[in-house]
Amino acid sequence: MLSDLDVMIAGSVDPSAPTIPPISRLFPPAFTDHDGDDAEYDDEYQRLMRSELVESKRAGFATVRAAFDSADGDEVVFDTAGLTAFMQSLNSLRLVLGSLLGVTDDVTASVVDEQMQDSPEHSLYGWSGWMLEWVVQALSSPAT
Amino acid sequence: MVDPDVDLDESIAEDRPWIVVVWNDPVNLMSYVAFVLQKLFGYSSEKANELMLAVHNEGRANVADGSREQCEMHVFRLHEHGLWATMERDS
Repeated sequence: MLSDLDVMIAGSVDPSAPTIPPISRLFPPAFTDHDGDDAEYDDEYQRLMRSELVESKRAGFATVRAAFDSADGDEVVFDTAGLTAFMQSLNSLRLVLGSLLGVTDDVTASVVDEQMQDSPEHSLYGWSGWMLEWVVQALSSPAT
Repeated sequence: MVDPDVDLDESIAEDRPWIVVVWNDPVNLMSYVAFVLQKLFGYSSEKANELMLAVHNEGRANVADGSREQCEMHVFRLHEHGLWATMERDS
């Protein structure tokens, strides 16, 4: 799944090229849109920073994949940097799935498009949220 | 002779004309948002939670301010973490 996401993100380096909506969620505008006042600033920012953001996300995916590749049996071991990369990658995955599922309501974040209720994407969305909570807790504990 | 107070005010206005805003979104977990704010800005967990709740309840919160360059870097790091963040001129 992360490999799929990696391929899709790799195609988003050019900010002027069209990006499918679930992926574009990973690349928000940098300037608040007040009637396009700062549109030029945003264009400049995207031109200079988009590729760096793409690279940063891809580097995180690579770190996570390396940890899974070197897993001993079912046990994947992360150091703090690896766990941070896992956290950010999980969140990227969640953002894309959330956009794909049409998650709209903040209070009941499990509310998704009806046709998607029984989809694998919905299950993965739920799992990624549960896993992300654990990772945030682990990184917040004094031992780390 | 230039009034030093006026110079100081202008200098502050010049140095701090931008703010960084985090916007509410339906996907990011509340615990994750608070954690990211702590990690990136060194806020206490109380301050980070307060900002996170402002994002959640009011739709947005100003999480940092500074020069355009400083705010662009803050926005970049927030985007690295998947938060919906933008910058705007401090009114």
